[in-house]
Amino acid sequence: MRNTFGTVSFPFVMCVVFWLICRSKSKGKKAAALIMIFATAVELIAALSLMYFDLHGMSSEIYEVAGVSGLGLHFMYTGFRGVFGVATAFAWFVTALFSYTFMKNDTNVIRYDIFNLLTLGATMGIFYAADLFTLFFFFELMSFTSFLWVAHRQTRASLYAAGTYLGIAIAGGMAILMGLFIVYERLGTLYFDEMYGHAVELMERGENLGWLFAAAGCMFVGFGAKAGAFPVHVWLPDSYTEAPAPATALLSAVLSKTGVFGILLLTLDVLPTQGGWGAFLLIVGVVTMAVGGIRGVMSGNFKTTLAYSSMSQIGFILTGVGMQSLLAEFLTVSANAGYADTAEVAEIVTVFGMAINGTFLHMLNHLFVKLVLFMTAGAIFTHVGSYDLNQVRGFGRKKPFLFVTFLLAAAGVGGIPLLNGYVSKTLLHESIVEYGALIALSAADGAVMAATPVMIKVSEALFLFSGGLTVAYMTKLFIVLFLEKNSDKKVQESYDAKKNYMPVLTKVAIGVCVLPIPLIGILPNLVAKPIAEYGLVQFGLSALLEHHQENMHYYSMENLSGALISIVVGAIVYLFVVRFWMLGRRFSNKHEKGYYELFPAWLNLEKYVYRAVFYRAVPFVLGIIARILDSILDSIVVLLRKTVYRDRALPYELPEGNYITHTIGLSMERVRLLYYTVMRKEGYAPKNYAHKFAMKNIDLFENFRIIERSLSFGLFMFCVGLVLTMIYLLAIN
Amino acid sequence: MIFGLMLTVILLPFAGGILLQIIKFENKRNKECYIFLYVLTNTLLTYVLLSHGPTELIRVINFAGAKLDFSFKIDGMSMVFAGLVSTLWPLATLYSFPYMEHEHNGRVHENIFYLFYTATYGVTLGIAMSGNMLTMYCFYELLTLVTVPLVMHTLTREAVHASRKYFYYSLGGAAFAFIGLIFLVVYGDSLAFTYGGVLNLSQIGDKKNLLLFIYVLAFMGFGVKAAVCPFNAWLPQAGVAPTPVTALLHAVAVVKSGAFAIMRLTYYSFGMDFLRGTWAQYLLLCFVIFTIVYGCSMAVKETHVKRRLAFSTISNLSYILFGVLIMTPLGLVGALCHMVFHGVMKICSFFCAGAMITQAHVNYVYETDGLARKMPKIFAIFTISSFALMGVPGLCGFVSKWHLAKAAFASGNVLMIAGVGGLLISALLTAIYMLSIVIRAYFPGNDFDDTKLQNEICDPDWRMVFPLFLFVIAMVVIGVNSAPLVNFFTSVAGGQI
Repeated sequence: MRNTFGTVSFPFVMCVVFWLICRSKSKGKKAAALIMIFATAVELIAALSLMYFDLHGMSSEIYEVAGVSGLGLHFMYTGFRGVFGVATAFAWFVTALFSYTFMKNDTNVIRYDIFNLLTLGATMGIFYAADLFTLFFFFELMSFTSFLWVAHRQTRASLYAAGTYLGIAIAGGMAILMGLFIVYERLGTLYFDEMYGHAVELMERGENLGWLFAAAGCMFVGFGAKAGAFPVHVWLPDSYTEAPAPATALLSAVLSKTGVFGILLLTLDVLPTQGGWGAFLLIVGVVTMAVGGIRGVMSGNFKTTLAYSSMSQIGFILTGVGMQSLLAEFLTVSANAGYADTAEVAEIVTVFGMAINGTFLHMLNHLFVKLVLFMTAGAIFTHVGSYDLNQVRGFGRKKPFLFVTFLLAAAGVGGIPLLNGYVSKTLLHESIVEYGALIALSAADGAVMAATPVMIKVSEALFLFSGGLTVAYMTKLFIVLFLEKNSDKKVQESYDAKKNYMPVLTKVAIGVCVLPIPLIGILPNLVAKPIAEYGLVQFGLSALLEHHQENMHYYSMENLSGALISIVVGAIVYLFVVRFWMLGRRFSNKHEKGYYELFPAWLNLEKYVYRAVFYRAVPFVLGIIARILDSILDSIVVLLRKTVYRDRALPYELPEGNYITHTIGLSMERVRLLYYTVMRKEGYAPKNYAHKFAMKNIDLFENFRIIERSLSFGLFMFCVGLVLTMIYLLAIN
Repeated sequence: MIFGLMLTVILLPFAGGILLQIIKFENKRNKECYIFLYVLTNTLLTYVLLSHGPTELIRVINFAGAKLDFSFKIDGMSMVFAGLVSTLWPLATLYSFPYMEHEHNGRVHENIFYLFYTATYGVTLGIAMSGNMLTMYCFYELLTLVTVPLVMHTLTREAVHASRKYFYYSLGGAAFAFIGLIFLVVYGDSLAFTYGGVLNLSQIGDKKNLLLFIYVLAFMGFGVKAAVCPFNAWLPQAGVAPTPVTALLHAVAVVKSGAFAIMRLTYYSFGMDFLRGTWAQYLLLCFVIFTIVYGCSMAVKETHVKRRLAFSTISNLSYILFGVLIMTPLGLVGALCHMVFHGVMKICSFFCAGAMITQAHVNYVYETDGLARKMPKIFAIFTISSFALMGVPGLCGFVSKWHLAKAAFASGNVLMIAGVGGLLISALLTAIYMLSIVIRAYFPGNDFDDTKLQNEICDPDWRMVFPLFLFVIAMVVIGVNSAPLVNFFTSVAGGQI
């Protein structure tokens, strides 16, 4: 199991085995779940063993599967891949534990499990990919197999969501392919290791980078869609809500990270040190986190809130990626132009490290937190049968395990000190603040950067504000679950009476995921830093940081104040939006007091922009063009047939006369009729001109024939000939 | 000896078809055995012929002028096309036996049907093995004549109308191609296919634009069979023919003959060096790129399964022409790849559609709801062929798309890169029109009433499934290990073979 390929291919092998076993055994829902647990456990061990071998210095080479699609698949191992490989296998393992009871009463479990395994293999393939083609290969595979998750329940709503999911995934896949073509053409390689060098060479030669930007833009559509970045996030809320809870947990915890992985690659390898790209990412990130946060606060559905929370957290991560790019630009510019001395460069490198570690840790933190939250949501769903907040209300009362795990996860993602989210958010926040300070200094020296100080200030403010939104929607969920009582007393009693609300396996699954949350938060320099150091992404410039990591003072006043601002903002937002706007009678025109979706339905980007454009407008316009073109040749033929090549009127042999006499006769007849009609004269009788002309014609032709036959005519023609000859002779002479 | 073999493979299917009319068979089984036997023999003979490798030009008859002769030749291109056709024909024949039992009106003209169906085989091989433009032109016209009765087979009003349309379009196109032939006679050194072209540049002098115009005319003339927009209207209509005809002829033999003729015209008659970088190339590229997107868009709008696939064929044929029009050896590699791979993918999806028609009487997309449960094999195969058509990596469609895009980017022309964009948009639309069938079949929704489907719907017998199975294996094997084929195409496109 030392090579990465084994780890990637194991789920595919298992998938076949699983299918064979479950085909022969008809009873086996329980058996299927057990096999799933076994398979994911083995996968976890395999991933861990890879990491073990790496830690002991037995690094594995790039593994090649030659010839697939003419390019071959390549796998490699680095710290980052290792950590996320393990995290992926871990996430699958805990969701398999969770599914043991959750999927017990579901239909089509075998199909679900098979595609679950396929998706696991594809995701591992993405993280261990050594070149862009391999990444693309598994990314496509993952998109198709995870489609089954969203469509699993086969209701109208889930099929609708699945359609959107697949549409965006395929469009994104094609965009990635286009980017891949361009990258291959421009950089001449698809290997991650070589890309950075080639890109830097290209920049040093001063070549036009327009195509590379186009490539990055294309690939961003695909990767960003999977991550859930604005404005290609439209599939996310519906799909997350419709997929079964363990699948949603995986979608949010792992699959969104594959998108971020791709974006990291773009940022550090394809467009290294291009601040423009970083500024773009920063804007996208900030917008994503703000939009996700706002929608999260305004939602009236437990799972949808969590879905928007995912989107918002991905926004934080993207902000971090954007900062990496900006800092890389800053680093090269200041080092090249000599603005900065070594101490300053060292400081920039430190800040760069913060951005990279912050991004990495937030990815990891979000993974754990969302596993907990979505599994909790699933566990609640098995009892309540709905994700509506009004139904869920009061379910968590008198349930200590649920209380502790939910609180830790919610507070963790909310960035409360002593928990994991605080650590990563502080790192990200600090990198923004310090970068702002640094460029303010260098702007005085006349250095030109892609990001302006104002932009950084606004980003920082929005960062804290979005942190506040996270606190607000998590508070909303917390209060709904544990503090409020259900409006129906009987329901509340039945909720309170439920003691056995979670089977042991589910508790284990959730409990294991909760552990890292306080661990990272309380001991950031002991736990988080080594992991981040090991999991350095090692794309492009980040390789600089390999032995350049410093401890941070996470719990200094300065850093705590950021968290404090977020918490205060969160409290204010919660009070105003949820308490006054959503629950207050004043703004709600409903009879009942309760939670409901505040966001106006007509602002639905997916339904009223994307679907409208792609399902209605584009086909309509193209349809018109197509119909015209389709019929153009035929209509020319028809036109010719009706005009020039028209059949003769039948019968076309006239009884007497010829065509000319017939036409003239008929038209004279008509003129005469017209004359009578106009003059209102009585006594019209047809004079049969046609017949008369025909007779005349016959007379004329008979005369001609007589003449033709006569001797004198012959002599006459002879004379004409002679005269013409004479004239000709004269003319020649 | 080789010439004798050539004549045999061209004439044997026809002779076999004639004998079929004369011999009285005891039962259906014997007849089918007989048909299959002579088709298979022909394929084996073709393989023997192709295994001899490329041959010299064999002149048969010389007409008045020195340049006008009737000649045959086997080179790399012939090997690719003849190989493709001869591999698919026996499989399609096998498939057609059970299919024709279900075909309305099938029993009445069955013998006639098989006469023309197999005669087309010989004619297509004739096109593949023609040694010069004149010979190819003759076979090309003949191809139109022998396929018209096949389209007309059902003798419904629709079928007669479609076959008339097909006939007019093809003959009209051939007339334009004929103009090209005449100019080649006048301005070329000879008519024989020579890699790099036969034009006599000193004779052309300042008439280059005229010749380019003639090239455009001839391209569009052959393009009628390759269904370039705006000459595509016959193809969807011709879908009224029985599925073995639509699948083999209107997805492979006939339409690929058009593409093949264009390759011959571009690379072996006018020469890519003469054409590259001219307005003619750009103008035709515009047409072709437009057709790529247009065919797919129409396929999305179309709800009749077979017509939808026909529109898809229109788009995919233009992929091939796009590769041809890149006018580099790399482009030709892409075009040859797609010619072969699309043949396999499309015949596969058409056969699946045919199976849906015979087994479940399903003609429209909305009727496919929930069918996958009843016909698991057919729909599994259909799904794989859909993925292949979309160009999912790991299946053969991706390989050809990759080579086309590589060639386009290598040429560095903006129009061609736009063409790659067109390819990807078309891939996206392909996903929509193929997967919408797949998804309907597999996920009819919870409120779907299973009992609405008749109980007797099931997978067809082995004669229909076996060819499909082979196609799927081909798609996967080529997708996973395409190197040998692509290397062969590369040497063909480089003019080495």
